[in-house]
Amino acid sequence: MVSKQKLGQSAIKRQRISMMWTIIIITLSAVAIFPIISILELTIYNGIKALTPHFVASPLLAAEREAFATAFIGTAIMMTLATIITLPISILVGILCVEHPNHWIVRMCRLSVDILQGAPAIVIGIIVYCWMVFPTRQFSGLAGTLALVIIMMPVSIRSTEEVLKKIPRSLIESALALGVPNYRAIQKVMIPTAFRGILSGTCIAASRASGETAPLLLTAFGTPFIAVSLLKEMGALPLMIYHYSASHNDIWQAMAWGGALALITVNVILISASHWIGHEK
Amino acid sequence: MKSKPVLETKNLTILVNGAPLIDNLNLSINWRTITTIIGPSGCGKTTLIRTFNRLTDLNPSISHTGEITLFGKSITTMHPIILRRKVGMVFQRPTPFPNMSIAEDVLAGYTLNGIPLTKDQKHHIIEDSLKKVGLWNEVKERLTHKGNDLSGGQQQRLCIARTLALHPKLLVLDEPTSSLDPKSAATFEELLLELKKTITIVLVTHNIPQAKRISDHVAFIQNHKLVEFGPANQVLLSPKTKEAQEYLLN
Repeated sequence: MVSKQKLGQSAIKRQRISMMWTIIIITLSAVAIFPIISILELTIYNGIKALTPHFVASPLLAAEREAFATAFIGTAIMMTLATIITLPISILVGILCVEHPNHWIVRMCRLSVDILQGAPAIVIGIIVYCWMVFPTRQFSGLAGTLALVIIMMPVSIRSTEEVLKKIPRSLIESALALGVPNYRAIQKVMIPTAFRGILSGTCIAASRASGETAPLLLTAFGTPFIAVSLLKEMGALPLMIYHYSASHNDIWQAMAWGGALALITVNVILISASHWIGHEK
Repeated sequence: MKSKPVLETKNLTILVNGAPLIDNLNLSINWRTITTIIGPSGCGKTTLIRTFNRLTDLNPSISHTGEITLFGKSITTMHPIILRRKVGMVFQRPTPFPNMSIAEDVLAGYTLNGIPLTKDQKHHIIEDSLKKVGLWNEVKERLTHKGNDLSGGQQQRLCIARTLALHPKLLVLDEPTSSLDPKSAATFEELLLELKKTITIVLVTHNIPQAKRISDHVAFIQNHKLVEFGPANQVLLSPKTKEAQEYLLN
């Protein structure tokens, strides 16, 4: 029989091991969280300093305000359009992947998605530059939107496929057993059931694309003047941050921080939306 | 119509990737009876009943030879969508549609097929179908709630209600009580006995006592073959073959 003393020693040993692992996990979590906290702290602190009443009201800073506004509007327009284009493509490709998983077209799709997912954003920018900007000799919001669509698609398609895969096959078969044609079972049962998950994945994809600078530099190019035409140069927050952060002008540098704060806010909203949509019952 | 078998199989062989899963099966399902299919796991019971409404068409690796007739008409000559409305199917696990309320779920067979209904027709179908499965009094105050909010037994009855809403000629159930607690399973058995008065039922189960309680006919399948088929009392209490005796009496 094991003595009480030995049992006590064993319990103390287990407690010590447990304590050691708890400390390791907390330390590693802190290491993981630290960069995020640091980025948020720095961006919020400097960003709020930029968006002072002086910046909002001073007549001397009208041009800067316009540049800020055009960047924000440009990002909103291109991101909205890119999301609207990406969502149906992701749903259609996702359905194709789930319904015909072994078809050669699906295998090609998966390979393309994997390649696109790993492709550097600047390469996508160069491709869209060759497709749209070089032939028309015109940077445009449309080209920027296309670049964002290509960046968003792989993430969105992959997440859509995963969400659709999680839907029990028996649910679709239940609809088919009621004499419902396959396409209507997909349209009326599969997609509505998975829609929250699909939307959540698209929000994450949008969040990833919203901060891309390199492809927009080669496509939308940016402009400091209010422009809403998709066929002309269009401003974007990442471009504004890129241009102004490199300057020696204090006001412009402050504006870059303001842009970063706006961009982080957009990101936080998109990620929070994806969590809320994904977990809402 | 009533004197003829509702469903009949003649020399039915079901092939999976070219290998026979069910071999040369001859079965006759009679009007307003409960026919139970019993057999060890993997013997092809589920695939057999899925062949009855051609759900097996969805799987290209499954094919069949021989004939299956519904009221004397070969099912291969019927459009699968029409056939599936006549041969209703309920699955092992309850599958209420997550995006639909209880009322919408009952009407799913109509709405998903794009069949227009008036408000009165909708109300009549909902009430009638839910009453048939004994669910009306339990859910009439919460028809707008999701079907997923119901208990497992209630969900399974809801799935039957939506199948019955289409007035099928044959109701095929694949181990419908396997995920239910004993009380819900007993309620479910009572429901099947009640439904038998108006509809023909084919039931797949592993539960031999359940088969004894509710079956009129029993088909015992083993090693891809129909070993015994006949009245429930005869097959379940005094089977003729050695295989059936070993499986059903032990």
